[in-house]
Amino acid sequence: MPQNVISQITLATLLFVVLGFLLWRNNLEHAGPQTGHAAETDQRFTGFVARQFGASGQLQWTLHGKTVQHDTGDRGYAMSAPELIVSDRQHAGPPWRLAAPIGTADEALTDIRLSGGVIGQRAAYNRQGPLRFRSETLDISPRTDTARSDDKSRFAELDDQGNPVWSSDATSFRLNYREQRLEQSQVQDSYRPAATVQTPTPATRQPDDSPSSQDQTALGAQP
Amino acid sequence: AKADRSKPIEVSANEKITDYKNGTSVYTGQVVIDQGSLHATGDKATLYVKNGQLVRAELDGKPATFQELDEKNQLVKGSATHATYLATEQKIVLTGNAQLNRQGDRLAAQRITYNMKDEVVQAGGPDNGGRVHVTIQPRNKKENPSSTDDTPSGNTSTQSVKP
Repeated sequence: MPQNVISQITLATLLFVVLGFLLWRNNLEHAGPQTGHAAETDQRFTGFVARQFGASGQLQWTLHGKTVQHDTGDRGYAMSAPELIVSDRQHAGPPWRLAAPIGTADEALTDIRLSGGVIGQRAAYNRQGPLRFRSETLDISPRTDTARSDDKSRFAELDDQGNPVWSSDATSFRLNYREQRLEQSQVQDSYRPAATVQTPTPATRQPDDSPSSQDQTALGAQP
Repeated sequence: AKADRSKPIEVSANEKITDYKNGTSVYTGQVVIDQGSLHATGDKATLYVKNGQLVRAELDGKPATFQELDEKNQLVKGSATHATYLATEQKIVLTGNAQLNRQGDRLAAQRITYNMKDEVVQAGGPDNGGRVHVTIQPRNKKENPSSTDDTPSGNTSTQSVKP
């Protein structure tokens, strides 16, 4: 092969290598670090209590729990052992108490999610026995007085012995407690016959704030 | 049968809307109501509950149906476009092309009231109860040797009973 052809090939290879190196380095500079700005906790409270009042000053709900932390970048709040207490503003009845192992809330506390096994209870009131609620997760919008779950759920009313007077299982539900309206899907209800039901008399009952084991048994069957 | 009344009432459906203001629950979509041997079905049911107890159920269907074993363990079947189940009085009121069947005997009218407690049936009557058609199956000779009825078994005799 003639001498000048060899030198031309060598020169072209050299140029190709230099060009490749320049391109690779340029690419390296622009790539920059891949990881975005990591979320940091900027606030952390222990034994927190948050309350929301209406325009006329009446208490709407209370949210308390073990810890709550707020992440930078308006990513909202993460809570441990939260309990949301929703007042029954329409009938001055006892509040619903909704507890769960973990919870999250958006920045403006308009949407609160409880998860990890939610247990809800409301004390006896107005010839109705204590109410119990159970679901895996629960999404609550306090501002619109609505709550919903797309997990299996169970509602039940208990008698004096803590046994269900009725129970209602569903695969999902939407509750509007301002309108007093509950919509459920794929429902399986059970009503105890009249003869065996003793109507609980609220006066004789101690408002039961903590879920006694009996209550758990009443809702023991995982919905 | 009486024993059914001490059993829980089970209700299942595709959808349910509960209105706590007026204490009603409306079930829609493949509604099934069971209480012991009582088995009722329909497209829509409105249940009225008081103090956690079922007082009344209104069932609509094409048709709404029910069946139950009576005290002699015989199956009583009914159907109509609308059925009302009165829990405390233990009555079922069938209205609209109502039919009641037991052991091949058949009763048809625009309204039939079946009292489950003492197993008395009331059919037809004023305000559109309409005429009553009763079909009573002839009993076999073995069952009724004294009967002089020569109607060969298998034929039915239809009697219209004036309300």
